[in-house]
Amino acid sequence: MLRKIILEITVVLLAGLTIFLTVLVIAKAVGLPWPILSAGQTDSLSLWQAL
Amino acid sequence: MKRYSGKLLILFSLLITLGFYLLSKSDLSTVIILPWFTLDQLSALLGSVLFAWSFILASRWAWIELAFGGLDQIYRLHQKIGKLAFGLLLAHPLFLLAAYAPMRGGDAGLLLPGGNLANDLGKAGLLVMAIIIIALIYGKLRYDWFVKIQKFFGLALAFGIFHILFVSSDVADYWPLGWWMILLFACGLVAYIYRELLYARLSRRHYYEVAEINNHDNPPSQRYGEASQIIEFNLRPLGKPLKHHGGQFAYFSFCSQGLTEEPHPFSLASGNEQVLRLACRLCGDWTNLLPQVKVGDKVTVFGPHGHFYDDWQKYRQTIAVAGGIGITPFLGLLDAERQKPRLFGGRARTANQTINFFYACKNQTEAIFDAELRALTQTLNGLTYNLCLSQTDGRLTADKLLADVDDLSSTAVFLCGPATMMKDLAKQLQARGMKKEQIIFEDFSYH
Repeated sequence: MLRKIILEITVVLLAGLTIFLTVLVIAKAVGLPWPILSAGQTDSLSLWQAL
Repeated sequence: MKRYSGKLLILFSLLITLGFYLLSKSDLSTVIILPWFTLDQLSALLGSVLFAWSFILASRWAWIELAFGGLDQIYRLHQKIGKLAFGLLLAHPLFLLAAYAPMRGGDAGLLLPGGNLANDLGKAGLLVMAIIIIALIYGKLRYDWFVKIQKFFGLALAFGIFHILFVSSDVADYWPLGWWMILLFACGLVAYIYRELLYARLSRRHYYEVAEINNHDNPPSQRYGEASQIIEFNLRPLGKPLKHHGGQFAYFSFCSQGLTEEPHPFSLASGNEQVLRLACRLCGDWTNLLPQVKVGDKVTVFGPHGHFYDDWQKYRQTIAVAGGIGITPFLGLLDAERQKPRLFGGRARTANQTINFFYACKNQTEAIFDAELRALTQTLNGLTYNLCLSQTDGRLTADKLLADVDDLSSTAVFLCGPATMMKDLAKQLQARGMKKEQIIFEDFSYH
């Protein structure tokens, strides 16, 4: 029983994180400011240009 | 929830990785502008996630069975996930080569060792995976070597962890993605350590000795026919007996002269906890040595595993189909029900619940449990028994199985036998309108 509860909590947590990240990605795509969104220090484009 | 929660965990872990990946980009448009880089990075990340899951699925943790169903289903998923992970990880350097092609032309030097250590270990990990997979598919290995060689996947995992954590890239610099990957790899690594080093020491084990061997004195082929040599063992507990449900299976390690001691899975053909009954078909390099087992030999039993019993007694009409040695879990289920009618969660079969049992064999010689099943119909209420011999009656079809069914929605079909038979019947049953959840498999050929 305890295992089942832990399992279901894990599924709910991961589902929550998935939804949260989806919101963040959409926010980033439409250009909303959010501190966590600018966390990437470099990107593929700058790497590409550096090469 | 139970049947889907495991697959949801895998799906969410892939989506979360994709989400972190997209957030790691300072400009999302680069994902489109540089498609080869995107494919290269995503194949590496998603392949790594699935690779970690393949270890988790192979761990034999009890909660994994709770999330994904029986161990047989888990091992089938483990194989699929492992192959998909390998395909994605193999595509990773190829996409990288395509991404760099405009600058480096057709130079394949990127794929050769000699760069930095993180890159070289990534290539080494992929090479280790490729060698193991080729050996497993084409090597025709003995079972003990089949098991041993898979231990080296741990080396590939260790190389992969080092590579993804220390390789220079924009995704590696993004700490949320980094920590998420560390978490997944840690789960994979813990699963590997548990399975390879701790399972044999920490998992539930029970000690038995061989009390009786049916047909040990005579060559099995004389009694049962060449096509289905079967040996039955009755095991007596030497300590605390294994608690199990009918229809489950366990891993057995025989301490017998001439046999290697790695554990092998067998269905429990009895519902009695005091005497474990096994019926083993001699069809492989290891099982062919089983006639060397003697009365008094010690056996260590790990488990139990499997959830074949979950929906037994749940539906009004149960159709059970056993093909050949696939009879064993059903023997366990019926024996358990005979001894303890209220076995499954306190439920007991009601007067209007029926079991229509089909025992499919090539011919009468192979139907070695025919008499036992006929006797069970005398003691178990609602049990109807049909012996189907393919040489005289033709193959079983969905039409034959559903001939007496009046309400398809209150019917479940339990299948255990050769994979082709189960697949074929499941397809026919679904074509007749049965839902997937009404068709319940026990795939004992997973290993």
